[in-house]
Amino acid sequence: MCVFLTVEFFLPVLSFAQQAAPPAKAPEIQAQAQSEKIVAAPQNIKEASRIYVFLGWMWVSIAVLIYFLRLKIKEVDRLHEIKFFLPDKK
Amino acid sequence: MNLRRISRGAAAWFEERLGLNAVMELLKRKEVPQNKDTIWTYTGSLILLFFGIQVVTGIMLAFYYKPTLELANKSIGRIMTEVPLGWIIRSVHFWSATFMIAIAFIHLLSIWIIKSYRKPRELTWMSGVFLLVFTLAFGFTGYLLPWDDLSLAATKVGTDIPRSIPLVGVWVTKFLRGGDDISGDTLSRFFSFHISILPLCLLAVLCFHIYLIQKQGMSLPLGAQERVDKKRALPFWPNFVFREAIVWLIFSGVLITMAVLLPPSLSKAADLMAPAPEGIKPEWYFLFLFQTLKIFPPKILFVNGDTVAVLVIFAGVILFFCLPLIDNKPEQRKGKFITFAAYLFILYAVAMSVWSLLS
Amino acid sequence: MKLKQSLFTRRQFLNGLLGGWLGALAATFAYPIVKFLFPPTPEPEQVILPLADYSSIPPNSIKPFAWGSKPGFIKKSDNGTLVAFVAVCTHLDCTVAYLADQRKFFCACHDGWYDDNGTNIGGPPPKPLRRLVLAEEGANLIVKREVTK
Repeated sequence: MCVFLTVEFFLPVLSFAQQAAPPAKAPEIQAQAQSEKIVAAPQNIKEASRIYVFLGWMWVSIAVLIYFLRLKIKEVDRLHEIKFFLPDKK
Repeated sequence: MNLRRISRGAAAWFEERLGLNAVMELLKRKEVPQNKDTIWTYTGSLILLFFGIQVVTGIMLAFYYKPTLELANKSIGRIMTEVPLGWIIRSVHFWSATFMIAIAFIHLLSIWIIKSYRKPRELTWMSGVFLLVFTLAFGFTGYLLPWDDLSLAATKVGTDIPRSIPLVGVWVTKFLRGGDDISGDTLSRFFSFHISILPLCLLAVLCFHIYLIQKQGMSLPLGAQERVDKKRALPFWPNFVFREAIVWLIFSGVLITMAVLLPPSLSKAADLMAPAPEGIKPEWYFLFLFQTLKIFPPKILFVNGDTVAVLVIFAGVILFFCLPLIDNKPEQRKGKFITFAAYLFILYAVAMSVWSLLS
Repeated sequence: MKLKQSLFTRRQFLNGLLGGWLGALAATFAYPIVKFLFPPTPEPEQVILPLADYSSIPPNSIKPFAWGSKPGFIKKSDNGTLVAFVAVCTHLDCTVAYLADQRKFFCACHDGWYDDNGTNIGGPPPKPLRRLVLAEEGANLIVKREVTK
């Protein structure tokens, strides 16, 4: 389980780590600064694809976490039903 | 010495001195009733989630933002182009603001309709109205900070509106602008409000709001029977918290997705001497108020139309603030009318906003 | 190999899975935040200066210039040749001064001394001053990063 989690964890982090640093884009930045608008966007196709990978990973994680949370909810609801959490009234 | 023993020892050390287990016990004992209105109980903490995101992204943006006339626009341009992933942080801040204000309105409307403000929760409602005002003030002050054409124009219009209030109006406008006109001082003032004054005010009132909620517990719907409902209530920790976590995950996911796919752009720096751009409009949450002002004629009898409009809106806000005191017989006709008024308000606000957008 | 007892209960497994995955997701959110807070500060590849301003300084004197966000010195030696240094003390980053009468660079922070070639000769500095490569091109003096081995 730990190995599985580590792999899942490092995969998208590594993809981010390889991201090209933004500088060395001086002419493009100047051109943008002089134009009417600066449009927010990823700077190159590498960054763009990494962002899509991140979005995919995020939604997969959310789905997995919601699945686990539903299991936990079933568990604590059942425990509440059998009055597991209440202090013993003896 | 294994990790579990060390952490248990540390926890016990702190518990002896801080006694924070009492807080945990409170959260375990606190109950959330399960009924048709329960879904609306998720809205309150959602606002808190988005506010937390605003604080974190706001602090990060403030590391690079320069609040002067000359550099405001440029520094945001730098955040968007040079700082690593700066455009995403700015986009999250922008979208979280919209989400926070939208959920705040939904929260308010749900409380209005299910009448949670009944005795003894009047003060919770009133502090909530303050929280809404602060939240809108956050939006208004933050909107100026990029210092582009649209934000300058919106701020000019927005700070001009109080001027029509008799007697104090001029002073309000002067206070907001730091003088008669918008200048670099206005920007400094708005920045100070946005990162210092408003957060402190909001946190103070928020603590009061949350304290009241913990002390008084969750309200029950009108006509509910307490004993029956109590049986079905769920403990806050852990049952409700896990459900809330699912809601938080979904909304955070939607926020990040929208922030990444629809980031805001930045127009060029505002020119104080330039004429106002065409078709200026405030942010979506002010559209209905903006349109309301527009429909008043320039003169009513002998009074300036704007003054009447501002006074009418002000009166509306006061009525709104005193809603729990007005709605003292919720089950009777007056109470039913007040619920109907909520739906009327929703219709009005949506209609006005759409009209404003299309015109 | 069969164990006599489970290593953890089913509840612990589920809790671990939930917490672990949540942690992983939190880390992927933390990564861009950390990147944001530590912007890259690259040094320039080269800096172009007007030759006239720097060739006219008297011998055995220095004229400062901006090497990116760091201070730099162009020094004219006695025989008229120009040398470029990064004027940052190799001890703890203070900006050094040139004492022309002693022909030494001096760092006032902790009494560091360098000779007129930038070699560290006294006090705490562990390394000589960084030298940059100079080239003259027409009316320009071009300062370039030193060649790294």
